[in-house]
Parts: sequence; structure tokens; C-alpha cells
Amino acid sequence: MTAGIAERPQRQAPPSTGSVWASLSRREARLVLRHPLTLVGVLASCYLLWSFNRDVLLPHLGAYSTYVGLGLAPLAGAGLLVGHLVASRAHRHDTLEIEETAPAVQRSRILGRLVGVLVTVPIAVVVVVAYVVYVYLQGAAGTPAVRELLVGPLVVGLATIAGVAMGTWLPNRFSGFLALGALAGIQIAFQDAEGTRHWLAWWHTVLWYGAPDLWVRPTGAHLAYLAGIALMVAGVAMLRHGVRPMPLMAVATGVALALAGGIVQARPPSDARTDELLARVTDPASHWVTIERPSVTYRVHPGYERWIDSWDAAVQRVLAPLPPSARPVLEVEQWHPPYLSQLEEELGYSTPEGQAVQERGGEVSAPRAIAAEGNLDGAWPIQVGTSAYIGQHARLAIAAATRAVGLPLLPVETQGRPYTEEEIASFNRTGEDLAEGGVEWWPGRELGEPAPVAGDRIPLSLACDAEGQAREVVAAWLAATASPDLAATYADIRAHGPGYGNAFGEDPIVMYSPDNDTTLQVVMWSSLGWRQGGGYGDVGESWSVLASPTATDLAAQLLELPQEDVATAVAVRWGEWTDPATRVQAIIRAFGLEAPPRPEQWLLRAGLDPGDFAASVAAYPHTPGEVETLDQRYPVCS
Amino acid sequence: MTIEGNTVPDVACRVTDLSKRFGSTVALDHVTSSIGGGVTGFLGPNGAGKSTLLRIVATVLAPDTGTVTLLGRDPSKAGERVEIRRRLGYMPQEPGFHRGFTVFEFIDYVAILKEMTDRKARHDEVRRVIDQVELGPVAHKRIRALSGGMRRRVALAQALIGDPELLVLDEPTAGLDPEQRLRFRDTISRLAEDRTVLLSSHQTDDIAALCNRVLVMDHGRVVFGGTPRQLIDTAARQVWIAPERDPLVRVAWRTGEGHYRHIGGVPHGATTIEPTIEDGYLLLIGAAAAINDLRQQPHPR
Repeated sequence: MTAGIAERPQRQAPPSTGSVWASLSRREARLVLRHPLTLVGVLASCYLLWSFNRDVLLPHLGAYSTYVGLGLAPLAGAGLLVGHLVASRAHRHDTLEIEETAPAVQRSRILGRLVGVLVTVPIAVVVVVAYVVYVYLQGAAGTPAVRELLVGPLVVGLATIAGVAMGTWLPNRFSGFLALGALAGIQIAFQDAEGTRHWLAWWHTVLWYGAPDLWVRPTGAHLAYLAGIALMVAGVAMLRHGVRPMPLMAVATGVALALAGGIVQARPPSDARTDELLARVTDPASHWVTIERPSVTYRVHPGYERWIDSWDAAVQRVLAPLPPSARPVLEVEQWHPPYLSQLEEELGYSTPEGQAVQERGGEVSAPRAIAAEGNLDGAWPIQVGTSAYIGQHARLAIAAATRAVGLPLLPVETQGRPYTEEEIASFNRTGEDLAEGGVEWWPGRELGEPAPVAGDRIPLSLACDAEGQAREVVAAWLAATASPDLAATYADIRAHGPGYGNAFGEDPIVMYSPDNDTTLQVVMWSSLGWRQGGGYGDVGESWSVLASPTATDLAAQLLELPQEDVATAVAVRWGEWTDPATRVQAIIRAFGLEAPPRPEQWLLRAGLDPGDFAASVAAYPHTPGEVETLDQRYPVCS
Repeated sequence: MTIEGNTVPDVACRVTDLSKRFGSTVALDHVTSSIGGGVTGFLGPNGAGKSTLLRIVATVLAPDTGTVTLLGRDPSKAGERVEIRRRLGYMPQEPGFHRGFTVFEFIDYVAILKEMTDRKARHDEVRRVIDQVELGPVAHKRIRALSGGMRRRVALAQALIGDPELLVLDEPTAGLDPEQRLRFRDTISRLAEDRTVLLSSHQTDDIAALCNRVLVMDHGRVVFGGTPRQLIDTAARQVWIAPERDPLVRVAWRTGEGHYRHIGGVPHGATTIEPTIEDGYLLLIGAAAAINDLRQQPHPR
């Protein structure tokens, strides 16, 4: 026989259980880090977060913080599956007996795995930090909403823990997908839920269009809700191998935390908070920060100051060719979405906040809401919104250029058409709801009985037709000098006709009057906000200008000439060019431009049939559903 | 049943009246045994209860009845079971692997489960056992890329982590080619110099070469306990050859030379030959089968 057991060297004291799970967690963390699913999750999340910002010119860090939960969804899914694989690994690989005969007890092993797989959380934090830096470098204003940013990593952690719990209790190959489906189901069920259950979804993109000062989400309570559920699930996982005090305490604490967080976050906002929200929408002046720049006064909500440099660059480029004496004094104001329906949309339909705003909407005066629409006459401040999708600079440039040449902006529109002179006059006179049009969205309908017109910032002005006037060409050219996107749009229109080609990546919209071809108009705003957001994503200037195809064509030709020469010629004869009596023929002669096509030629370029316009519009492939008929005539701009 | 002649002073493993059933199948039937240092081999046909006994000794399974004492401790008590596991190495009959792991990673992972929390010391130990089973050149290869023989060595290496006092190896040589088996024997022989090794095998020559004691099991019972020499001796003068097969002898087979090798039932005048351990084993199993057959016959009125 060999040497007896008693003769063996004395073994060292065994390490503490804590050391074992800590060592195991480090090992599991390394394995999770290099798992292909983790890499896929990170890449997909990065792509998603990048895509949210793709069509945005100037994001706001606070608002964009709400994208993190959705953006990290792929990483959360990957974390869940990896957590499940880790927890079920011994079962799947048939190493249970080896594990069972090791001294590390089951609870150490489960705890080590739970902690180890949570390496997905620091990964998520790194992704979030990178996202914030990226958004900031994009010119974002404001400061990050740290608690909203934490929602994403917490969701990732919760999902990962759920994966471990599922793998511990049901260690088969497919149960991870069951857990993934269950978590996705909860998100889907709650994100569009009515009433107070709305915020119980794992994440929510609260404000698509920015405006973090309209924030209503009780994010702190939501974090507690998420943390509570994560703790509860972790406790359930630990209970797999015996009922012990610590897991039971974790479950009890988690349930209490989740319940408390869920109840608190689902409470409707207070009257004071609702009042504050409404005040910010309808009376922003008391909140604005005023910043003066040469010829321009900017009034913005706190936190948006960083956008002004970008805006001012466009405006100053427009104003640069103007003789100093001709430079207008411009005001740029930032408004939240003007209509309560939009605010409700911002807050989420059927949310407690949205409902509260709707219920209290009648207290907001109609003139205020109309004022928020903006765009009324040349003296009216240029209005910008709290989001900045691609096209905002173009809109600012158009607004500044039309004011510079003395053209009015487009009037209030409803259902795709401007109001008639009679309608506006009626409204200005009585303050009552309009007789026709806008029945679905006119603010008065949502505001209750509109109050009498205050009159100080009203009346509305009526659109006018400046086609054929030289100043329309000058305005179009000035705007394009400040906006390469606009210049590219003109070139497209010149090459292919209105309604064809890209305008900011999308088709321009054709508005056409079958009675009078001369009113065929290219609407520049085709992709300046309306279609980007599926509705009013922005305030004011949504209908920034109508430019005739003639003006567009001639402006495009001016842009092909040496710009210094054009600027000098425009400045020298500024008074003449901006005189309503000066016709486009003067510009054609002065700059040696080609005469623009006749209206029917425009139609042919656009692929439309002048002889059977309605049928060709119906079959027009480039702007399905976007071609509208303009039935009315405007007075000539004076 | 108590092993005859068990004079080992340091008893690493003692099982008393051990029984285990899986449904209606009796895996262990009142087994009693004491096992000391050195290598103890378990022989027996499939289903004899070898693996069940080894899994109980490895603390994977708990017996239905009976008591187990391992390294002086009672594995039915949680605290003592952990102490036993700290001194135990176990290689299952069909070990699974995390196939995406490298050899080093897998053994390191098991080392963590064996409470080796100091990273440097653990890695030194992992390298030591990898060298011990001669897997150094493939230490950083993924397990899925290894041959079956190499994987068995990985399984042995993980059992050796922590220099266990009690090593339980369930059919460690299954599926190995002769050269690999020789290498395995060499490794286990060296290991057995200062610890208790329990191994099961169908390979009687492995048992003969490695073990200082052997237990033969059949139908959940230990039918023999002793040294390999004693097992061989049970067949002394019981093995004989003849040109034709004797139908009355249960165990007989045709040899390469064209003769029939018979075990037991030696007729008068037959030529007996020197038995091997396999002869002893087969004789025992044959006898056990005969006893079993008798047991299954209707009781005479």
C-alpha cells in the first residue's frame, strides 16, 4: 500500500465562498466579452443608435438620451441569450457531474455567473458614453439626461439576469428564446398601453422631437422599477438550488422596489406640472434666453444655445450680400410644438400626461396657438422648433431671404391648402373656428371655444403670388447661397422638372392648379419636416416658401455663375431687384440667363401630361399621394 | 460483504450496506467495502453497478440506504461533503466538455470551481496538471479540435486539479488506443504512489497492470474483492483447452490457434493452462450468472 492519507502535506485553508464566486464571475465575464453574440449585440446597438441620429442636424442631448433604451435593445437581447447559454452550459455540455463534485457550492456558481454575465452592463455604459460623445460632436445642445441614459444599461442588465435565471431553471437550448420573447412581449404590451401602464414598458422614447423641458417621464421611479425587477429575477435564479434567506430577501426587496417604482411612475402628473408644460408651449417668452447677433436676435429655450451658432451661420450667409442699409432686423424664436395635439403626441397618446394636457387644453387661448404656427407676415419672427432635422438650415435661409427681399411668407395652411382671404378675415374678425377646413386639426377644436383675438400679434396675412417678380429669384438665390441642400434641390428641379429628382433625399412635391398652369409651384418644404416626422415635428416655418419653377430655374442658373460677381451685382442694384415692379426678365438680361421653360414644358419635364393632368398625376410614380391640387389664386404680392 | 484481507491501515473510502435503485432497477444491492490507498480497480459487466458506486463515492449521487465514509467524513452532511470534494478528483465515464474552451481554459474553469481563487497559483496548478497528462503542446487549442484520446486526458487533468487525495476514475481508458492506454497506465501508476485511486474498467489487463486491489461487481453486488493475483488464482486449474467446445461449460471461446479455451468444469484428463486475470473475472461472472439463473428459477416446492 502506498503512503497513508495522514502523511500528506497539510492543505491550505479553503478560500471564502466570496472569493470563489468572484473568481468565477471574472472568468465568466471574460467569456461573455468574447462571445460572438455579445459582439453582434454591441454592433447592432451602435448601428441603431447611429441611425437615430442619421437624419438629424442638431440633436439635443437630453432628448436623445431617451433613445438609449431602444438603442440598446439588441445588446439586451444578446445579453439575455449569452446569460442563458452561460447558465445552461454545464447542462448542455454534460459537465454537470464535474461541477457537482467540485467544492464550489451551487449558490456560489449561480452567483458567480449572475455577476459575471453582468459585464454586459459596463459594455452598455461604454456604448452609451460613445453615443453621447457622438451626439455631442454632431452639435447637440443641452446636457445628457443621466437617468434616462441609465435606463438602457439597466435594461441590458435585467435582460442578462433574466437569461441566467431561465438557464438556471430551464437549462435547455430553447428556453432562452422563450425568455427573450417574454421580455419583448412585455415591451410591446406596455409601450402602447393606455392609461397608467404606459411607462411600465422597459423603455420609451419619450420625445421624438426633442423638447426635454417638456419632460414628464418619472425616470427615477422607472429606474427603481427596472432595478427591482432585476433584483427579483436574480433572487429567483438563486432560489433554484434551495430556499435561503438571501435570495428570499432579494426577491422580496425586488418586488417591493418594482411595485413602488411602477406605482410612482404611473401616477398622473400634478396640476402644477401640467400647468408648467402648457405654459412652456403657449408662453415660451417667459422661459427664453435672448442672444443677440448682428442683425438677428435669437430667443431660445434654455439649453438650446449651442444651436445658435449653426443657425446664425446660415442666416449671416444670406444677409452677407445685402447692402448694410438693406439688412433687415430679424428675430428668431424657438417654439415648442404649437398644437396641443402635438404636445399630446409628444407626451405619448393615452399617457396620463397627454390626457391631462388634453383635458386642460381649453384654457389655452386660440391666438396663442395660432401665433405658435408663425409664418404670418414678413415682420413676424422666424420661428424654429426644438428639433432640428435635415432641412432646418434651408428653412432658416429661406425665411431670412424672403424677409430680406420683402416677400411675405406663406399663410397658415390647413389640409394642404392655404386659407382663403375670406377665411382669414373671418377669423381675424371673430376669433371663431373656421367654417371649413381644418376640422380635424385646427387648434380651436382641441382648445375648446377659442378666446377672442387679442389682436396684438395677429392678424394673419394672406399669401400672395410673386411669380414673375425679380425679388422671388433673388430670394431663392440668397437662400441657396446659405444652404447647399437647397442649391442641390434647385439643380435637380432645373434638370428634371418639379416633382422629379431628390430634394433633401426625397421628392419635391408638386402643387398644381388645373385652371391656370402658371400657378404650378414647386414646394420646397417637401422634406423639410413634414414627411420626416410624419406630422408636425417642428414648429413654425413648416410651410416656409412657395417658389415658382421659374424662380427656381433662374436661381439655379445664378448659382452656376461666379458668386462674387452675382453678389456684387445684387448688392449694387438691390433696390431695383427687390422692387415688386421689377420682373424676372430684368434678371435674365442682367445676368445673361436662359429663359425658363414654359409651364407645359415643366410638366413634360416632370413626366406629367399637360393635356390630361389629373390622370398623369394619379399615375405619377415619384410623389404618390403627395401631389395636391391648388384650387385658388393669390393676389399679386405688392 | 466485507473485502477479505483488507489490511490497508488508512481507509479512504468505506461503504456499508449500500443500496441504490433507479426505478425498478437495482443498481447497488447492499454493498459493503473498505478501500485504502493505491489503485483499486472495479471490474464488471455493463450494468453491474460500477459507475453507480463510483458516482456515490464521487458524491454525485446519494445512496438510498447504507452509509458512506470518504476520507473520514460523511458525505451526507453538507459541510463534510464540501470538505470531501476539496480532496476529491473525479473523471466521469463520459465526461462532457465546454468544447469552445481551450484545454487551459477548461481546466482553469474547473480549478476555480475547486476554489483556487489565487490566479497565479491556479494557473501554475493548471499548467502542472496539463504537463502531467502531457497536453502541454495543445494547451491553447480548443477542445473541439482534440482527438478522443486527448479529450480523455483533459478529463483526467481536470480530475487531478488540486492534487486530490481521492481520485475516482470511471473507465478512464475507454476508447483509447493501446499506446494511449499505456501512457495512461503510466500516469495513473505515478499518481497512485501517494493517493487513493478508484477506477473502473472493462479492460482486465488495465486492472492487472495498474491495481493493487480489484473488486468484481455483478448485478449490483461485489462478487470478489482481493488482489489481482487472487483474482487470477480463482481460476487456477480451471482453464483448459480442447479441440472441440464442451457444451456443458458456460464460458468457452475459440482461440486463434483453433482450440477452444474453457473456463471451469474441467473434465478428467483435460489439459489445464495458466489462467489470466480475465479468466478469473470471467469465471466469477459466469458463476454469478449461474447463481443468478438459479435465483430466477421457480422455487422448488
